[in-house]
Amino acid sequence: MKKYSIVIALIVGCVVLILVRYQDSSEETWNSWPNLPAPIGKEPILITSAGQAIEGKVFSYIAEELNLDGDYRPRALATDLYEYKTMIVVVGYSPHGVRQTYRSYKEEKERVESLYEEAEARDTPIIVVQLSGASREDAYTWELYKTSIPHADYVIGLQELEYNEALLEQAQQYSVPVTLVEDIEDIKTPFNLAFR
Amino acid sequence: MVGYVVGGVVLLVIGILFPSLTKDWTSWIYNNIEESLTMSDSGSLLVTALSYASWYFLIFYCIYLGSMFVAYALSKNRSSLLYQGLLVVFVMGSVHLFNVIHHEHYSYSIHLGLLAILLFLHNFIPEQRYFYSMFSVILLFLFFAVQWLNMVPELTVFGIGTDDFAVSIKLADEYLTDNTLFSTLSVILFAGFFLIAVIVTTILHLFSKQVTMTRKYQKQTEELQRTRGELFETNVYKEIHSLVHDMKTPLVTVEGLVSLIELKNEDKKVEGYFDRIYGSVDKMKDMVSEILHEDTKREMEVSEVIHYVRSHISIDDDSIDVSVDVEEELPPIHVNKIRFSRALSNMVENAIRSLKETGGTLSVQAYSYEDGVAFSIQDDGPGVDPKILEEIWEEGFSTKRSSGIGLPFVKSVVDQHGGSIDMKSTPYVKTLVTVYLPVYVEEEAYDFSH
Repeated sequence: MKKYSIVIALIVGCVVLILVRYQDSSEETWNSWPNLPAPIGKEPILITSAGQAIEGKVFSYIAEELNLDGDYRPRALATDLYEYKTMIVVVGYSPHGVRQTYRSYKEEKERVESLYEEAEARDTPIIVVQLSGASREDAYTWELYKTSIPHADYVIGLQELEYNEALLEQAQQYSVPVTLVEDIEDIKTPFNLAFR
Repeated sequence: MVGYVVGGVVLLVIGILFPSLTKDWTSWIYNNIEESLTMSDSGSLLVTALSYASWYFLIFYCIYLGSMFVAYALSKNRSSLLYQGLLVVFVMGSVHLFNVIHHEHYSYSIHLGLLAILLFLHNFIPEQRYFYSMFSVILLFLFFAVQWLNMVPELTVFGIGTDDFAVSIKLADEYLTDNTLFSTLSVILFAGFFLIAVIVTTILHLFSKQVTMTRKYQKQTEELQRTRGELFETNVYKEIHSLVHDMKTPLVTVEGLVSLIELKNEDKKVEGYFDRIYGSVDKMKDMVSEILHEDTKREMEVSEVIHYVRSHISIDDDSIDVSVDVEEELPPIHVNKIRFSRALSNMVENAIRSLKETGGTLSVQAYSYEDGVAFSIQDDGPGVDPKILEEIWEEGFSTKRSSGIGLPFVKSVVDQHGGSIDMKSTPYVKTLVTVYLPVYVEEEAYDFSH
């Protein structure tokens, strides 16, 4: 029995970690707006990424399915914004994605901040999208949310995000309407209603 | 052990820095996920997932194997709790370092589970020469199993499969197939690889058990053979002993009848023959007595003993050059002629046997040594491995599948004579056996007048 003591301890540790994580992710259902009461966005739209995760690409196809006129430019700069009337920022930090841009995380964050400043200066509506759900619960992604929400006009995301309470609190602090849905597919409705 | 530490550290460094060393590979995986989305090609996504699984396997194979090497070098025992504890610390420490350096988010829970499985299976993997090769095979299947578990979308809420590539692949799959592809396939592949890992471990365990049993049976058979040989020799010895004992009665009859014939004899010429017959009978009685009673000893000249030994050994091999050298004016020795000569013959026969294949020189010498006499037998045959020189005097020890009682017999005879025996051997150069015997000092007769 003694020789299995570490094996038992490891199994217990593994189960505890899984349960803690499961409780964090699924305990509560957050109350949020079902959709915006009136559209805020206009076409053409710029879809960009904050953190270079694959979610940006996925969201660009959702926008395409909704026949929204715009471009997916994950590495867009503030100078690119003049062509567009709405900016969609899909948040999610991918270390491999950022490495593809030959930038550091810090430079990526600065790029996103300068985009927000430029959008605000141009009075371009900003919609922040969270597609990662429970998958990206890391501090880097959360840092990007914290940077994005004060500039956002509307936030759409998935229910299962552990940081949702903090995200909702911050959104409330900046009077940003938030819509949280169960699946990626469900995002289409509130997103469509933000334009039409 | 230094090799294990160096090898372990190198593997750990390679594992932790692997993404930086394989930038092209990671770019290919990332771009392929994007391309799968663009082309709406779930098949391409599956190929990417396979590539990612291989990439993941190489990283953690280095980390786990490196940790095993270092933990083994520090604990020196793979079955100890210290080894297990160190392995857990090194693996989890490396995973954490990997996450910090590469901004990754690999699940800790899955590595705790994986370590638990590995340490459990470790008890069934035989500690043999190919331990690491066998363990590597099991690691391969376990890592692939775990990697597919990382790609089960339903397990994301449990914190499993939260690293960048796993998240990206699952998200792409959710968009392309609503998770139907990976939900099913990942579970099947996980179960398949896990089952293979368990089956491989079971087979290795059973194979090891079989090998152990075969070795045990082999050892028991050898032991049985040896005991049989000893029993046979003991029986022969008993037979000879009883035969010799039976010789005493006819010998007494011969002696009595000869004395009767002598009384009736009137021929003066024949009287000399009677003296010779008596002398021979006395010699035979002495020999019988020496064979039957180990403690029976008599004073003898060294040259007489050597002559007796020579007369009992026949060397018909021309390739062996034999020389016998007995120092002059050696003091007499007090020995059981039959047993002591047998002991010397035994050693000379051993030397002859060792020279049978290669030929060489055999030298028998007798010379004075301190307060006694030394007998040396020297040859240049294959001799005895210096590592086993201490063991050769033990009963039953043999390198030639013999009974292993020859040298122990020699030693017991020399001990009974108050002497000592020594062997030095450099194979194919010089093997020297020396017997030291104390000189016989006649005890003064007890003075009964007191």
